[in-house]
Amino acid sequence: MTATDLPQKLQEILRPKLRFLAPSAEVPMDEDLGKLGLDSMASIDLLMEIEQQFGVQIPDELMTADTFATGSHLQAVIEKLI
Amino acid sequence: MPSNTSTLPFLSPSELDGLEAAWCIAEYVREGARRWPESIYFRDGSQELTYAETWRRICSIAAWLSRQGIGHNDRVVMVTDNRIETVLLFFAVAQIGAISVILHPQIKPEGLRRILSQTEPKLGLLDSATAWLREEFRETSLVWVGCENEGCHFADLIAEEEPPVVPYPGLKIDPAFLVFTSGSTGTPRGVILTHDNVRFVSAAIQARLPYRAEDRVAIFLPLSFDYGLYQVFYAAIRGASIFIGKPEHAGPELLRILAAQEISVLPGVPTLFGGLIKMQRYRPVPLPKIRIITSTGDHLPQSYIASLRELFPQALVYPMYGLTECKRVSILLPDELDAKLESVGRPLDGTEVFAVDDDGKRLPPGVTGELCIRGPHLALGYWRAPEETAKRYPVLDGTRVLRSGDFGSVDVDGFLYIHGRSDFLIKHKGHRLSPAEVEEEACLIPGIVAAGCIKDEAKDLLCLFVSVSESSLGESQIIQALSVKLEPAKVPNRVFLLPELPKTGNQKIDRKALRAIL
Repeated sequence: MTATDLPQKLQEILRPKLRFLAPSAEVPMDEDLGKLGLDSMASIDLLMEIEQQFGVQIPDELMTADTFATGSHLQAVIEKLI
Repeated sequence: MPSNTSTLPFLSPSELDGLEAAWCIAEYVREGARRWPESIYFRDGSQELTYAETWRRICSIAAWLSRQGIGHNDRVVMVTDNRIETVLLFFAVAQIGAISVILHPQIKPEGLRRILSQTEPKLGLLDSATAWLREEFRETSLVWVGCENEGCHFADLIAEEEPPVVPYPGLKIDPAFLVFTSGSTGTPRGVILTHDNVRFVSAAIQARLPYRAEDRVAIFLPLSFDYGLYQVFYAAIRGASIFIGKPEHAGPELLRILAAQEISVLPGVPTLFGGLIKMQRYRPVPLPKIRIITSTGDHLPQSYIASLRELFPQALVYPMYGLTECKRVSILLPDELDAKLESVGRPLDGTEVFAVDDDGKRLPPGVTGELCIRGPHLALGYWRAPEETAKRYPVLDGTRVLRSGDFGSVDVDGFLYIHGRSDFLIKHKGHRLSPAEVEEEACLIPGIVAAGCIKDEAKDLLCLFVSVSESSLGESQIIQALSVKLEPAKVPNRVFLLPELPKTGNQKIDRKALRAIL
């Protein structure tokens, strides 16, 4: 896992969880993930998948609605952890 | 009983007060401020308000509302994130005899427009989350929370000095607020709850599941959903404290917030508990304070009950059943869980539930029919919808009943069992929706000829069946198009294309036949 793979990998994880996004569209990284169809239950699955795929553990203080608000917030948090 | 009423002693106004002809829900706070002034009533993680300070602010806001010429039976519409300010305005509106309408912050402009034209509010409340809806309030004065650049700011409603108490001008049988919910058609309907409805049902619920003064109750459900809102009444009866959280906190961080806020009472819907169970299994957090878990809004599966009892052994789990039209129908007690598997409990004390057949005749115990409810908790009806009100609240054998629309039975001990929802209402993710609402929106999408919406209860999925005239229309396009028009919980999880939809004899979509396809 290198830093350059991260955005691509995150796109792949996010894409199937955003049911309100047009099928072929890229995930807009600054858009509110809730508006793209991520509900609280799906964000729990997202957390688990991110931790497994990137081999990280998101610490308690970063486990906030803000971290899960947008793709770029998530990316920033993951970058700090890998 | 004296035979001649003229011999009855004359009652002075203060004695009439004793009869509480004019009781209003703001009395909960006034009484709380008298009994436990220094106890914390509200906290949200950044601020705390005592009962005394809450009452002072409510009086101040009530005085401001009166100065604006807002009074008895006027409507005030609030569209905000869950926040303390909304609850303060809500109580102040009650105190001046006006009617609150709290709406979901994710409401779409189309839905909001329909509600505003029905309610014609004198005042609206918006915050930064809902500022984009301001155009819909062109003809209404607005108060803003947390938007410094906008006109009238919420903080300006609260005076420094001791405010006068504006006397409540109505009767206890008057409307206190409307809760908008899906009607049997696609049009949203405002259920009219009176001050007395709230008082009866809150006392009856507290008799069954008593909160304590030291309890900290968490609200993660939207305040637009009556089960979230009513927590503020239950807490005030006991002097307990409310943590006002937001629905988006009910994800990965939920456990952490519950621990940090030392939450002891957690009301929720099955979806919220599903997430809680998943997270607690994945990364457990000690939650020694959790004492009461209550679930409503949808069927709480036995597997969830078992998991909750295993993960939180010190907590009491209360499955419940209710509908906005009477707030709460029944509560199952923790020590009844094992003997009455799958039951939603006994009706509240002072109320009655029975099943009826297709002709409205009462059925004997154990026989399934549409559940009907009787009692002082029955709402007045739907706002400005006399026909729908008469249909849902018919008079049977001389008394007014509520037809729940749900099919179930009552056993010999009086315990209720729900066997199926009616065709005109779906409960999904703790939200109530009408299939007609989803179908109407679907049919507005160019290329869709007909649509039928049902829920796959086994998989917990909302399913839409459509026939299309354009072969290019696919599942994901339709879901995406609907997500712009409908609140997230009302957007179907799956869309299936059919050459033609099954119809009933009178040319309506046959939802039973659709269910058979699943």
